[in-house]
Amino acid sequence: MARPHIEPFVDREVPFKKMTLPGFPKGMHYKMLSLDTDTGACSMTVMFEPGYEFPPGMSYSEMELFVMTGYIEMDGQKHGPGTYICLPAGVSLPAMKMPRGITGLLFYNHGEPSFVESDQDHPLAERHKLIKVSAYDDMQWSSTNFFPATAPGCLVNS
Amino acid sequence: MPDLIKHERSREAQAWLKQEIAEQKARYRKIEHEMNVTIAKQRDKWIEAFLERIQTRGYNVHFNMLRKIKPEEIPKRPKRKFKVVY
Repeated sequence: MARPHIEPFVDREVPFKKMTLPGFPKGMHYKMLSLDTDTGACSMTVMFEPGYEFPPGMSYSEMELFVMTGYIEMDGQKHGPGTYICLPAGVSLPAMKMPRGITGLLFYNHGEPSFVESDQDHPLAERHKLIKVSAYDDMQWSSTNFFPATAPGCLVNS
Repeated sequence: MPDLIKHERSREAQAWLKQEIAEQKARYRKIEHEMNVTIAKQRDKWIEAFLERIQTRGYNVHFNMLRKIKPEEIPKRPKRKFKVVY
């Protein structure tokens, strides 16, 4: 079956669970929001403990991360709330540190969560599709350009 | 080109997935019970209020444009049971 959709679902009533999948360093916690029972693709609220570190690595599935609180140190830069990363399958990200921990939303779009330590891209990786933006600082809020449009006052970052 | 790179799912990943699927099903059953049993009467009132509102105040069709829905456009309640989206 396709990925199920449960509505509404308030994750505040659900405790964080430890991520135990192989490859993920200890200190990652998640709340499952939805899960495709066939592919393992999923949406999660995540929390990384202060001091959490990812070595350089890649995922077998396309992955998206949106930072809600805290910041990530990567390539000598800080990426705070509003940071959005879309990581195509097989593209290697440099090491990441989260000195104070972060909370965010994490999406594995086509398969179960995976992390493979690697400082090189997979041969099938499409690096040109990598997106890394600060949704709060780098992008303009705009009204929708589709029909029917959202009500006045509802702006989007896309 | 792939959105997913072919790989063999480890035993640990299979076990993790099985556990998550079981938890998701349990979560769904709980939500379904709440919607179909606990708040069922209140839900009927919400539906009535919504149908009245779109006939009197109107339904937002675009930007800030509202259109009043005619009585003949109001759908009849189907005989089947409500299905919680899943």
